[in-house]
Amino acid sequence: MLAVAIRPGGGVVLDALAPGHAEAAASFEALFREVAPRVRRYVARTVGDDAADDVVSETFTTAWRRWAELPEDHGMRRAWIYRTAHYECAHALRSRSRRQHTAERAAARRELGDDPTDRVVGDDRVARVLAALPDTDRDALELVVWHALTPAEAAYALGCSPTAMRARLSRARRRLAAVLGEGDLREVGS
Amino acid sequence: MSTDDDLRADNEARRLRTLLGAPEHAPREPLSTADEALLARILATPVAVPAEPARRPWAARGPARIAVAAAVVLGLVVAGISWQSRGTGAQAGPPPVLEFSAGTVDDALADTLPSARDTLTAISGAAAAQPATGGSGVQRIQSYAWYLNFDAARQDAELATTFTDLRISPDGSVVSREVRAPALDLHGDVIDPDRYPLGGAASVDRLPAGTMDADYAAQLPRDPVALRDAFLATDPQCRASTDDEERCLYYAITDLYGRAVVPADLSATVWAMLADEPAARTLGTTRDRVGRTGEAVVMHGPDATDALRLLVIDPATGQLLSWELVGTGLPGTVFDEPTVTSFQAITSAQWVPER
Repeated sequence: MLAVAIRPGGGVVLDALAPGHAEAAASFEALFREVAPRVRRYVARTVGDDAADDVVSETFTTAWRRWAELPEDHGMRRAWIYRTAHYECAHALRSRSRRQHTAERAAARRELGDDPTDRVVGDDRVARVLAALPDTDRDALELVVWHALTPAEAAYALGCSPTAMRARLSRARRRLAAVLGEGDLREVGS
Repeated sequence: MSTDDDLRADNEARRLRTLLGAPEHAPREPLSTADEALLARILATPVAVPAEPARRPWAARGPARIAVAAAVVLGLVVAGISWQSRGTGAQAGPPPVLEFSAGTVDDALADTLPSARDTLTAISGAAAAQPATGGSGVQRIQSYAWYLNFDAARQDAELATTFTDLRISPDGSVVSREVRAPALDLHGDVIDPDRYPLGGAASVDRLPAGTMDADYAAQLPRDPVALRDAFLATDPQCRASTDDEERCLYYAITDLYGRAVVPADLSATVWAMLADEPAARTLGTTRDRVGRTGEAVVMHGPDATDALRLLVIDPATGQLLSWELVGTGLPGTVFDEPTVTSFQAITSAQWVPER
């Protein structure tokens, strides 16, 4: 079964649409099942539970609509999802006041009681350090520690340079170590 | 970033994971009910299946970004025609072929039309005479288009009327809003008032900084030969044959006007470049789909699916008003007559203030 795909700027190409569609659907579903729960958590931390549904929905709907344009590399595909989610969060937050933003972020953190992140950072000292981090540093830490992105992928997701990503991670680590020391922190997660 | 920097960043990440007792690989978690429902809802909609032989990186730098940006402008428009319907004599409802003052599409297919050199040279001159105007802020391009969507798996064809409002900010971030009318069948009747084409009744894509090159038009060469080289550098396949060169030049032009406010001096260069292409033939004047008078230039390609590639150009300003494609068939079938498979009329291209 053939279809014609017309892409201005890219010419006209032919493709077997039905097999391609099935393959795309399978790949998308696999990616969705892998990352959606963590993406939802990341989004909820940023915009709050109430707004998370819309942001997550828009993120994955955009990914599906633009599936042909996503990177082939699996890690970069995940990073593309986070990058889009990050951008959708920023868009959602721009329409709110800073006070609302702050309150909702705080509320979101309280509401996510079964978050594995919270189990890891159950120590109040760690929680305070993380809460005191700038949003940029916190986002960087979160993506590489709890979302298993590489620093390069996290840099792509957050729209910063890899060098800036390394600086953010280094800064976050130093703050954590300064407050608790590496030995204490290791016990938190054990 | 150097390899050393990579290693240092990876080391920071590893130390942080160790500090916080986080696993190296995050365990898979089950989907919530809400996410299961979201997944089902998304998969119930069609998708733009990759059709190119080789993917291009999403955020590729340089020439490859052109193709990426083209996809951002219009997405992957899946268009086609149910050849079964046409083969059985159904009266399809695609847009009728435009009327031209100096020829017909049959003349174009027969390669009997005169060269467009003089026409394009005149248009280039008119564009060059336009006052030089710069722009700043957000580039906003609005268009009206009509596509044919064909789902091969379901043998389901629909006509999609699409309005697009594209905004490209100086940092390369993009907001693309599309509004679509309910889908029509091949007879031009509404299939179902609640059925909308691919993408739904409305969609908004917001893409982050760096997605597109906002300076693309500003940085293109103002020398026709150099511009031709720049257009052909977008894809190695463009140099494979004369047909490929013509195809790439046509789509590079439609891409340019579909995603940028094109300054007059660049328009002058574009048409001067195309004037030297033997494949560019003139059809005389025409009125495009939104009633504007322009000069029609056509390029006859070897493929049935876009056998005729049309451009309608404002002779006074050199701005591209519309493009459209006329096909003569699909693999395995031949249309009864040349058929318009898609068009886009660029209704506005202007700089607007940043919000």
